[in-house]
Amino acid sequence: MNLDGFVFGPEDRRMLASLTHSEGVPADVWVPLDVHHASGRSGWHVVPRHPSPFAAFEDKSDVHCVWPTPFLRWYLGRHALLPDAALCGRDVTRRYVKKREGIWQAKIPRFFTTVAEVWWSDFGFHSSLSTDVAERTQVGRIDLVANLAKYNPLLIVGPNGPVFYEPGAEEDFTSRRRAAIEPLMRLPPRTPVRLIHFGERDNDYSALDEWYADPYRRHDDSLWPPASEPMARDWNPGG
Amino acid sequence: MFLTAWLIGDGSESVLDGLTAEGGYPTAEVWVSLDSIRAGHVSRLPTHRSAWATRTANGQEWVDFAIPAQTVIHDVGRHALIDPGTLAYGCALATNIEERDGALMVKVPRYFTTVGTAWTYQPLGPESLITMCGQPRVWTTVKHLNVRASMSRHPDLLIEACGPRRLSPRSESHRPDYYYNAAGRTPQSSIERELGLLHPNTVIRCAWITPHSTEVWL
Repeated sequence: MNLDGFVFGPEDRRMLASLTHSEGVPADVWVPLDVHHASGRSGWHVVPRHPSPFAAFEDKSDVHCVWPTPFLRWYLGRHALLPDAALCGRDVTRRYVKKREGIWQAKIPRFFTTVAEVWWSDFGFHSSLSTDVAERTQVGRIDLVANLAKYNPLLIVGPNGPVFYEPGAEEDFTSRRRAAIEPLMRLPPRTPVRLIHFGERDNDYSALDEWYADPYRRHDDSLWPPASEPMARDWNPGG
Repeated sequence: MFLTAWLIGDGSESVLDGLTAEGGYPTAEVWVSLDSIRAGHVSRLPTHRSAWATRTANGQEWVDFAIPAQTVIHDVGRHALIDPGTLAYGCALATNIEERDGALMVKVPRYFTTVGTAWTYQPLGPESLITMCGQPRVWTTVKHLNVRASMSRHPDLLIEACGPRRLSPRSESHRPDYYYNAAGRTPQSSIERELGLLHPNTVIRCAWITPHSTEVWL
């Protein structure tokens, strides 16, 4: 699926890498696997290596992990892309499920959901976010109404993470998208705004070469240590 | 948008009734454990553990849950409509959750889940049964059925008296089509062979199902 996104703030390739999954999913954040509360508890299933005659077609994921959505929202923060259901599940490669400091943890994408395989930008055929400036613009100069109409972005990313994502687009989401953008329009006028394309890897665009060379794509553990990792026992949905 | 089902042989209508949740409220018939956990070696992650969480929708309290396939097979049976080998997602009104003999249990539909709110023989879409003469029909018999041409219409559900099987999600585009229930995944080619082995006078009928308005779980 291809989609356009507006990204407000300085270029943050690490953040954009966390929203894509070209070579396996990004493993950014260790999350406790065993959490429980009066309103729910987590679960998992270690998937057998050869679960079906289609093993050759299966993903390499080995553990299907499920958490209560309120816990993930609390643990990952308000920028996590989570559905409305009470449980959120995803497959995690077995090597990213480990016992750390005495508790089982799984390493998952920083925003839980990824939106596409790759991202790219700066293409001449429709790279302008403003009616009069090429390639990129600033909060103080953007013609927001014209650009929303022109690109119909399904993803809005602020300086700290995504604030709007509507992949299905089955309902009228324009008012919710506008509400998500309004706080970003109060950022300093010189804050950059970029149009970023998200899509599949098979597009033959030379700019992707630069993307693949990005060191953040290596997912070196040292590149993304969370500032702090609260423990499961601290989970307090009502707090 | 409707789901299409083939009802194969006698006794399959009651199966489809069990897959239908009138008004969006599935009939709760079978108790399943929500406390399922299987421990492995002490140094290893337990093989599986069920998950659950509460939510409120339209003023009612619901519980979403994910239960290991082994537990569903044990408590519901091999014809539960779940994809085997991983966790099966479902939801129930909180009133269908009870602690029984010290274990948390949830009461689920006969085949663990439901697929829609109503079903009918009234054609709501193109007929998917193709005869040897190349004619689309709403019902036919095995001896008149062009199995391969009919299966190329990809019916969403195959329903026999012993239980249902469902077509794999289309989003998994890199794998061949298969039909699943708790007993396993059956490639479409094997389904075609199975149909060919049925008694020639076995009747197959098309039915159309009104799906749930939204998927309530992932």
